Amino acid sequence: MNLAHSICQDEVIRLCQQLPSFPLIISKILSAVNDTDANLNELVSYIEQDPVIAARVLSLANRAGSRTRNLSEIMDLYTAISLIGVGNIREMTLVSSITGFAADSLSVQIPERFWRHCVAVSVCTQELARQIDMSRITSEAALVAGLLHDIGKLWLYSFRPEAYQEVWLEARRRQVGIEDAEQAAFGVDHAVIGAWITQYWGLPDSISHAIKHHHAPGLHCSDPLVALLHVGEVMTNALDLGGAQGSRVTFISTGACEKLGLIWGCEARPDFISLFGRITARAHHASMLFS
Amino acid sequence: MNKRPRYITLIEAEAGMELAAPLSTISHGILNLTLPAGHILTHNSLQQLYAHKAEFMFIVEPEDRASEQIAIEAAETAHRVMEIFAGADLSDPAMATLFNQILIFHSK
Repeated sequence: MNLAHSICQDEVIRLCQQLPSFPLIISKILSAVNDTDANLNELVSYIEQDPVIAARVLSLANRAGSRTRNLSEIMDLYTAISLIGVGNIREMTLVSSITGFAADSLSVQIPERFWRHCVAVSVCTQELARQIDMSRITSEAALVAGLLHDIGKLWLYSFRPEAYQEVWLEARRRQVGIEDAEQAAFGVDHAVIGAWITQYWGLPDSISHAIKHHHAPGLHCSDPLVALLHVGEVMTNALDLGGAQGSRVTFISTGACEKLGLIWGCEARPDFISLFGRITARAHHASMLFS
Repeated sequence: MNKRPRYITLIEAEAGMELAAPLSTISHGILNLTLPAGHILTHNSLQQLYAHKAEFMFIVEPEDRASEQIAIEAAETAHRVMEIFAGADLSDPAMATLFNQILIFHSK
C-alpha cells in the first residue's frame, strides 16, 4: 500500500469544521460530578441545559424509585440526582455525549462496539487514576481522554470511509495493529489525528498529548496522563470490556507501568482484584445505558 | 449453599443483598459511613449509601449454577483470556504480571 491517501493536519482541521465541537456542557457536567465541593444546584443547572441527559436522569430515577422504594413519579432533577447518585450521572453523560455527537455529525454508520469501547476505556482510565491516587484534575482529564482517545478513527470513518475500510482489511490480513496499517496508508495514525482534533477544539494540551501517544507512550511516560491512557486502554482490552469480540492485548509499556507504580507481581493482589471489579461493574453498567 | 461474589454499582443494589467486603464512603478525606462485611442491605442502608454518594459494592449472592456449569464457564473464560493475550510476549515482566492478575481476577 502506498501513501496515495496521505493526510495532513491542515486537511484534518479543515474537514473537522464539518463536525460539531465536543460539547462544552459535557465537560462542565463531568467536572461538577467529579468535584466533591460542587453543590447540587450547579449540577442541576448544567443538566437542565441538555434535554437528552435530563430525560435519561429522570427515567433512570423513576425506574430505581419504583424498584427499591415504591416512590411515586419523580418529576424534578434534584430528587432524581439524589436518588440515583452522581456516579450514574457521570456514566449517562459519557454515553449521551458520545452517541449524541455521532448522531449529530456522522453520515456513516459507526458500529456500536466502537462507542462501547470508548466509554469502557474512559471509566477504566479514571478508575486507574483513582487507584493510584492521582489528583482530582487528572482523574477528570483521564475520563475525557479515555472518551476521546479514538476520535481520530471517527474522523477517518467520516472522511475517508472507503480507504479506511481497506486499511482495516489490510491490518487484519497482515496481522498488524490498526495504527501501523494507518501509518502505512495515510502517513499518520488515528492517535495523531485525534490529537490534532482535540487541539483544534481547544481541549487541554495534556489531553491531546495523551491521545497522541496512547498506543506508543515511549519516552512520553513522564506525563502521567499519557501513561494512564495507555494502560487504561490495555486494561480495557485485557478485561474484554467494550463488547468487541476482537479485544487483543499485544503490548504494554513497562515505562508507563513504572510511572504509575504498577508493580503487580505474580501473587494475587486484592487491590487490583478490587480495581478490576470496579472497572467491570462500571463498564457493564455504562453499556446497559446504550440500550 | 455456595455463594458467588461480584461487584455491582449502587443502582443495581437491592435490599436483601449481602456485602462481601466492608463498604466505606469518604467525603473531603473524612470517613463518614462504614458497613461491615456480611451486612444485609436494607432500604435504610441503601438510602444512606445514596446520600453518601457510594458508587460500588462487593456483594455475595447464592450460587445457583451446578458445579459442572461453573467448571464449563471457568474454562470458557480462561480460553477467552488466552485468546486476548495470544499475540502478547509473556516473557515481558509487565505483560506477564498483567496476564496473571487478569487470570486471578476471573478465577475469583
